[in-house]
Amino acid sequence: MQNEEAETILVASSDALQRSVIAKYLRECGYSVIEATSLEEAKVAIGHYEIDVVVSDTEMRDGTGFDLSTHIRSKSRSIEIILTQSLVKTAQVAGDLCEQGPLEQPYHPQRLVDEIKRLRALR
Amino acid sequence: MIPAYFSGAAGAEKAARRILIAEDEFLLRLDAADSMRRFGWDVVEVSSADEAIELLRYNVTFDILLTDIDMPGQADGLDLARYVRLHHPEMKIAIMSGNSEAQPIDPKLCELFLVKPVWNVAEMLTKVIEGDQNAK
Repeated sequence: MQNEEAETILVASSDALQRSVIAKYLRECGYSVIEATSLEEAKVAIGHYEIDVVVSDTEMRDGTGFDLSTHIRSKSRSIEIILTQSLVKTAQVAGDLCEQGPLEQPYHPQRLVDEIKRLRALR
Repeated sequence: MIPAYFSGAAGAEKAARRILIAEDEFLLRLDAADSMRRFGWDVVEVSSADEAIELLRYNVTFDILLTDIDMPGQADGLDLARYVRLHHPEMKIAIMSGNSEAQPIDPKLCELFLVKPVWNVAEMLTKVIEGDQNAK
């Protein structure tokens, strides 16, 4: 997608705010990121793109991260799958990925958590 | 730094132009989003008008909304455009439809109407933004 040289991460989440912030963070770490808003979209992405890592919520609006894992494992053994259940865990996962990423981390992952919580409080 | 379009906080990174894309056709949305990012835009993707409205209720702001009309959920793209006009009047709106015979759209509801498939979307939306800036 954006950066043909970079590893591609699929971020699958039905939470628009969390998904967008995490995806932007990973892009700033140099990854190519595909955002899926549902299990169905994630499955389509797996079929259309070469994905290296999947970061998926355990619960999505049309299924679970476990459904997605099962689907992926039926297609590929090489894709790394990381299931996350909470915002804090997701931010930690993103931070860990960024540490291994091609670019320097733009900010500490805790700031992702703080930012998302702050925005949720504004509503 | 925190993304400015999410934060709005003092000292936040000065973001590029910010666009919210609401499109339920996944591959089409990815293509449009990728195209916009290549142009240096900050892009947020959602797959329904409901999701877009939810995001906008967090006081997340954008320069422009690009929305399809027919999407699953309670609200459609026209409802979303009306919401944006009411609550985020500073935002420009581009509406796209796969049906050129679609119901007539109130010209006050959008700055740009596009019939899918849309080519050169980044260039067209840039003109909408720059046209507005030149008019000031």
